[in-house]
Amino acid sequence: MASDNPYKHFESRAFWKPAVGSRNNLTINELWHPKFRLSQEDLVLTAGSCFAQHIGRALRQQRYNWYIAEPGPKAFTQSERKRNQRFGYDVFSFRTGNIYTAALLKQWLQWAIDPLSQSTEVWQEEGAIYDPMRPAIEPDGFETMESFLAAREATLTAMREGIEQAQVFVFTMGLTEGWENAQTGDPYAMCPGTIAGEFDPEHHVFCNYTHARIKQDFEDVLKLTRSINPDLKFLLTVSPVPLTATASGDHVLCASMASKSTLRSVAHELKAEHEFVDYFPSYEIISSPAYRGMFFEPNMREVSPKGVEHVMEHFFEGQARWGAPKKVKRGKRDRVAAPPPPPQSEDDLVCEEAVLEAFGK
Amino acid sequence: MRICIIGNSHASALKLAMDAGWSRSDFEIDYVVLPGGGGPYLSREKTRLKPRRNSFKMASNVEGSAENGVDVVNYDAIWVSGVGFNVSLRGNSNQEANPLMTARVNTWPRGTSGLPRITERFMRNLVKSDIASSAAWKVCQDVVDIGSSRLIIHPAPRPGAAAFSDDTHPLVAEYGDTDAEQPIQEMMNIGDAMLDELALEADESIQVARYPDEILQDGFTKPEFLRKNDVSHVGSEVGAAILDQMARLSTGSHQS
Repeated sequence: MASDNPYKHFESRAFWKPAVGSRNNLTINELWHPKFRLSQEDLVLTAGSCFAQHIGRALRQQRYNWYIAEPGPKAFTQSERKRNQRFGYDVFSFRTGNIYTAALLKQWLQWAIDPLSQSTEVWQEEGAIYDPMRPAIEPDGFETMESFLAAREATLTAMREGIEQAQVFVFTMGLTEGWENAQTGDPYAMCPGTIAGEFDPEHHVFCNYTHARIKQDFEDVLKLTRSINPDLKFLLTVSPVPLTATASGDHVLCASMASKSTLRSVAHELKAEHEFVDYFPSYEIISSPAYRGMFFEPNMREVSPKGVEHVMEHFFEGQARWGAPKKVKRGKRDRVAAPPPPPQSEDDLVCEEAVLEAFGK
Repeated sequence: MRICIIGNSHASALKLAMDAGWSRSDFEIDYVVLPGGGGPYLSREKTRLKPRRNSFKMASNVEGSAENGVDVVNYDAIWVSGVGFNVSLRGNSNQEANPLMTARVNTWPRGTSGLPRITERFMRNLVKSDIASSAAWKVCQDVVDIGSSRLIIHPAPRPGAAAFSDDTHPLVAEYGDTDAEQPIQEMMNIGDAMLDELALEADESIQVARYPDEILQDGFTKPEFLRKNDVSHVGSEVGAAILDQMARLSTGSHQS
């Protein structure tokens, strides 16, 4: 007879067979025991890789307080919302575009806190100016440096003010691979020459950030943000989306595993070492062999809407442990309908008068 | 040549000019006019355009048009009157969606509205969408889709400076009289450019009429060319000039 040991006292979620092996994978539960409650009043910031976009939208759908610190023009229709998103608004809390690396997040925060330290390096193409830190936010580039600087200022201000006011910052870690300016060491959002700019091997260098560097960058991120908001909590996730391409020289599948494993490991340590940092396992929910790849699209890279939905169900199930509603009725999907004629305003009278004069009616 | 003017209150200038004697022996001109900010609300049924509301307010010489609308295929050309971006916001029934109510250009002075400060390029995009969502543009699109008649656009005129003389206009309220002028001018220029761009994208054969330079002063329509006590609508003199131009455009001569 086995003597008493710690495993005898663990919940069933600690054991593979009852928690995973003998279950239908869609009934696997209790994947996340959140460290802190996210109330529907809490202002929640989101940023990170493209998978982070789903988190903000799902939070909003579930009536959580997703905080868009840099909103776009008011949108009344689905097509207007999409147009705003094409210009980088209402995708994340700030108009940064995707932030794939910890190095880039740290750089944005440094500039937000000390705008004078920002680099004004730009990429120019056919007369248009692109921001190397977010080349996709203006689809046709900026027309002038004045406009570029004004847009940068708006984002840095929104970032600073957003962090001051928010209670939780959700960041989705995307990549270990990135590109930097060889002279300044400033990390770029993506490789020059892909979306904009021109690649120059003399000036642009590849970096595959190590565990130590990423960890340090995140530690700096925590210090920077909490220097202006000591109560800010962090919720880290790792994007389950594999790399589109790797510059590491390895096979892209191996590079993806290395990249995600490194990020996952950093997230684990940060969670373990800081009481105000938590980790939500979106990466595991999509990528674990227990799910047999069922949440990927046929290209085995993109996550299906069903997968995103499943991830977010786990998120809200976890929050329900803190007393939050487990499921809030989903809002009706936006329907694009022909807008009714607007009500008449008093100014219509002027127009009618003109018609009356001319047409005698 | 059979013409139908379809429009809102801005078609009045054309009618006044015809009443004052403008005519072309080779032109037979019908009109279907419904007042309304943004253009006449008409819905398409096959090749007919019928009023969606307020048909009792319709002014038309086409028999039965209040009930049955107007059949576009009966005309060689359709002149759609009152198309464009409404910078003054007067007569704009859907004001809250106007780009001036939702954003500011990030190179304009910093004001007090707290609205998002966007690039001029994005503002152009907003203005273009605003025109494209107007009732007047829907008529243009319907005429293009029906495909039987030439489409000539009569843009809404630029407002008089007096349209911006008090702080009921959001730019004046935010920046004051003097500082508002540059943004107002920019928005009028953007409006003109976006209407041209939309027209070109919709169909290369679409022609857009131009207002004579001499009616403008500092980008605004001079008071003497506006209707009395009206800062938005031009009178018969300008109407005649526009009719001359649209007649030329309709017969294939594109000089303006």
